[in-house]
Amino acid sequence: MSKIRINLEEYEVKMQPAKPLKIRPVLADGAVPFECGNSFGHFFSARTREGVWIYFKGHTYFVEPVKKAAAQGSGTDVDQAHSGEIISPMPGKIFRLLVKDGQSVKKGEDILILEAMKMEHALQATRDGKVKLENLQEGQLVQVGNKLASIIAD
Amino acid sequence: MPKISSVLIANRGEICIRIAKTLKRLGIKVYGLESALDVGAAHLLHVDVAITLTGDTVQKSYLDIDQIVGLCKKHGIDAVHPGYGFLSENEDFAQALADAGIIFIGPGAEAIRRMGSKAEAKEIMIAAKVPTLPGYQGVEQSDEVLQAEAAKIGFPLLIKASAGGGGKGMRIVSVLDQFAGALKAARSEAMKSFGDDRVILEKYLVNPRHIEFQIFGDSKGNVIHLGERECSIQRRHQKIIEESPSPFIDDNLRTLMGKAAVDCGKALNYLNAGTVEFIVSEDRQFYFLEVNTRLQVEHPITEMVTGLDLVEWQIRVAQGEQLPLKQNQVSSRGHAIECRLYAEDPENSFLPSIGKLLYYMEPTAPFLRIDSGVNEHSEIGIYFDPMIAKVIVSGFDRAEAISRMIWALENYPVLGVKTNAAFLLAVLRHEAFRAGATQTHFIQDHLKNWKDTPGEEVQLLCAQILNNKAISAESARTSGQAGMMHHNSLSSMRPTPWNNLSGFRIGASS
Repeated sequence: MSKIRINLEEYEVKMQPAKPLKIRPVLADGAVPFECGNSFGHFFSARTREGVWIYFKGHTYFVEPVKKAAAQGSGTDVDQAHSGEIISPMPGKIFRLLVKDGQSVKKGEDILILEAMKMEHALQATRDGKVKLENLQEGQLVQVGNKLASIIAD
Repeated sequence: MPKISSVLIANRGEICIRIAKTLKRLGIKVYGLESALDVGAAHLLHVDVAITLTGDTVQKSYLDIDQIVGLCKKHGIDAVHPGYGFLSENEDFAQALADAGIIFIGPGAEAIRRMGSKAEAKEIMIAAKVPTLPGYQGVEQSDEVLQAEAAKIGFPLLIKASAGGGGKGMRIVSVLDQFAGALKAARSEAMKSFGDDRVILEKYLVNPRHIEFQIFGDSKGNVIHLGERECSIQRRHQKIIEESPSPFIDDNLRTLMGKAAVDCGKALNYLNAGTVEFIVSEDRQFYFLEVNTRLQVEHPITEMVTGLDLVEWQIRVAQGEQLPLKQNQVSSRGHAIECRLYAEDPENSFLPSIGKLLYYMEPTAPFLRIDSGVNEHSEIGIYFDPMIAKVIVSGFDRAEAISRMIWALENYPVLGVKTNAAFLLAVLRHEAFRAGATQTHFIQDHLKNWKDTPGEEVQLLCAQILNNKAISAESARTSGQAGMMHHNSLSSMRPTPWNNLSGFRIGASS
């Protein structure tokens, strides 16, 4: 039994004696043939410090151990909803600020638009309240995980 | 017009590489641009001369007209190919080049300007008797005038913010009674988003398709079309799957639309490659949308079915030659599909996925063409479009092309970033797609909350690779190569003589 995260979702994986996983040696191009139950094919993998990237038949999975991931990932999700913080989901540029500091907003209302690689992405208020902007200017570059604003409940 | 012997490609990535391949085949000297934003970029491996751009933003490098024109003059370059995006539809750029006596490989400043203005484009098309979408885009914005115009257009109709984009200030109105309320809402949203509450009205098509025709014109006044491309499968208003021929239109409609596209080109006295975009209703009415005055991203599917090299044609007409073929000499064979492979996360609103490619290998097959702009170790950054490659296949018919595309995407390992490959596969396998129900709402209708959930076996595999070092030990035992799974990149174990070189330098006395 093992708990892992695949693309940010948690899975409990049970080893099944009825379905043994067979993995053959790496082929010349880096492909690894495997067989398990009715599934078979070649996978490719690349390790990083945080986990391992796996490519299998067009699907890409980023697999992490659960302990570490729980501390980072789901933790911020919960915090974000509770504290009303708005965190940048991607690196990019503040394209447009749609509200003023101190303005009252409703949950779901657009707060600002981020732009990365020609695409615009609107970020919404996570609850009702007053917006506190983190000293932002249009055109400013932000990184993933940066706190952009918080919604202070009335 | 003089023969072109040197060309600067004022672009980057896959389109630069694709253009460079044709130019080299034609014996033309290829100049490319090297930017500080793009150090070591893959496209530089495909040009004869890399010219360095100054400037640390896109605006001050790839979009800097003065700098690029200055470099052309300095290097004595004959012509510029703008690719798509960047300066490809910038009339000032085309004009600045013309003023400097450099050939712009495209339709010229005048056509770019006329097609850049939606209102003017529409007027030209109405005059040329090309069907346009009924609508109102007048200056008069009173409730009474808009209501009267709405009644004239008929319902359903769309209220759009004049300054708009991205769906803001947009309202679909299905009956006249709802018009006043919807107008009020659209105006206030437009004001809030764009600081401008002017609106335009347009007939709204339910379940439309986006079908475009490739046109080509020469300096002798000839204009022909090279068939259509069906581009309805879109996410975030960007195409992700294109095909030719369209599964929707029949020969009769194709002839009508092809003629309209050519009329459109003739009305503009069009030179070089262009694309006439149409929106097509369920009852097979088609309406002019716009003309893209450049080589399109999806041009390879036209090349696949016609066997022509569109970049070669661009060069030939740019140096004053006549179009190589007449309309009745153009033929199309089989079916071609293109999928755009993006570094993005389809499970998270298709947001770009940034990172370094840890492993990258393109599949090969006789029916397959891959136009890519990356290689292993490429960095997918925030400055440019996150497209990794265009995967293009041909087949005897549509079903064969689809199954070949599925094979290609299933055998195209990319590691280090999320990609949309699994999502593309979900579209290709969807029965509605297979049945040819390619409408622009396809993804919204059929794959809105798509999730890539790994099956039990794959979960097991993931856990095994993550946790169990015995995998590599086991493979090491049988193959005699220890610890191979622990490399950051598998490429380091591909058997190539270059891996064994240490401290090797060409020309060094060692």
